[in-house]
Amino acid sequence: MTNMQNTRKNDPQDAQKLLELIRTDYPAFYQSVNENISKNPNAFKELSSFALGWAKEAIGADALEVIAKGYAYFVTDVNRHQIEYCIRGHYKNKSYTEVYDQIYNNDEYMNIYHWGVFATLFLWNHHLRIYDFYRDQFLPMLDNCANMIELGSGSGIWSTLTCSLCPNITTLGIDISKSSLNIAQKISKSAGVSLRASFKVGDALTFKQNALFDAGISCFLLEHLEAPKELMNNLAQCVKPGAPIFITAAITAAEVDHIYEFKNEVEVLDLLNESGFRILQVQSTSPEPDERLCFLPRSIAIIAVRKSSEHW
Amino acid sequence: MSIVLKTVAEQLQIPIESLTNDSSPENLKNWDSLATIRIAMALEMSESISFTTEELVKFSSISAINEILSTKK
Repeated sequence: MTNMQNTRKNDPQDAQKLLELIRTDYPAFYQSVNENISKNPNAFKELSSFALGWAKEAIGADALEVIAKGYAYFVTDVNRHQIEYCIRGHYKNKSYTEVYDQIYNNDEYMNIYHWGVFATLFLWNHHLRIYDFYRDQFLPMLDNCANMIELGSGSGIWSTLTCSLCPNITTLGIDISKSSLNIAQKISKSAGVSLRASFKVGDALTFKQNALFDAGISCFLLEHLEAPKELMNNLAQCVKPGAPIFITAAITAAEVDHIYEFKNEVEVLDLLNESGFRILQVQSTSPEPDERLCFLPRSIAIIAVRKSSEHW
Repeated sequence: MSIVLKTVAEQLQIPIESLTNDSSPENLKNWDSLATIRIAMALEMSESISFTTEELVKFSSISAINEILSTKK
């Protein structure tokens, strides 16, 4: 694994400029952001430096404004859905069809939403902790891996991070969204790793290629699927026996396009176990519990390996 | 009594007398992004209206909410 200092960086002032934009234009969001990053200033500084540099090349001159707006819109929707979830007792939508036209086929919404999700990676402390877990616990396992597949690569940030930190690995990201693929390609180019991080339009549930991969990841896709086990089954078929994998999922965290409701960590672990993976490490993270919400939204990150046999 | 002042006071659990048109997330510690949604949902219920996400991110002060609310009537 290489050192962050050896890879391309952006203007360190960008993070401060983004925070100032949130403070002035979206003041209701500033306090929690400030509290979040003060709990993990090193991870925030490191990850925001990379992510904002990449986003600036992908978006253009008004990148910080786009990201601040995306964050405010995204968190507003998340908060509304989480409150409604507490009242209703279950997620609003349960099928892909219900969210397709509203979200995935709505370019204007997707553009704002995309950058909002992107910003949560470094503005939410529980996501920063997942980044720490990925960097410190998972990436060292890739030392002997030549290639890695990412199913549901979205904006490509995890593959790009991997290639930025592991100079000998190549990655292939698969995502069904062509617009996400375009962003992923811009981001990997901006990071200077486009020769090793490639992206392809495809279905994460069915994608296959003849040669198996040395490692695999899938981040925050499971909860967007009607049948998340299909994703884990396909990942198991894409990687070699013994291959390390990294999986994240949202638990009791309502968003408009979260259609599979994981009620606890064990449900996600069972899914991996049943799909042929042996669990090695688990981290469950959440924002500070808030008495105004009856469900604690949280994220789980799991490091596992593909079993060689049922008992290995 | 302004419905907005009353709703904000109830949702933030602070005395209505402490609020002015300039009250905002910048000068009220309890007014965070979650409180904004609670204020909005309470207004939606009492006034039989609905707010868009675009309107909600502009809930930056009592006067801003009054302005947005006035477009609904």
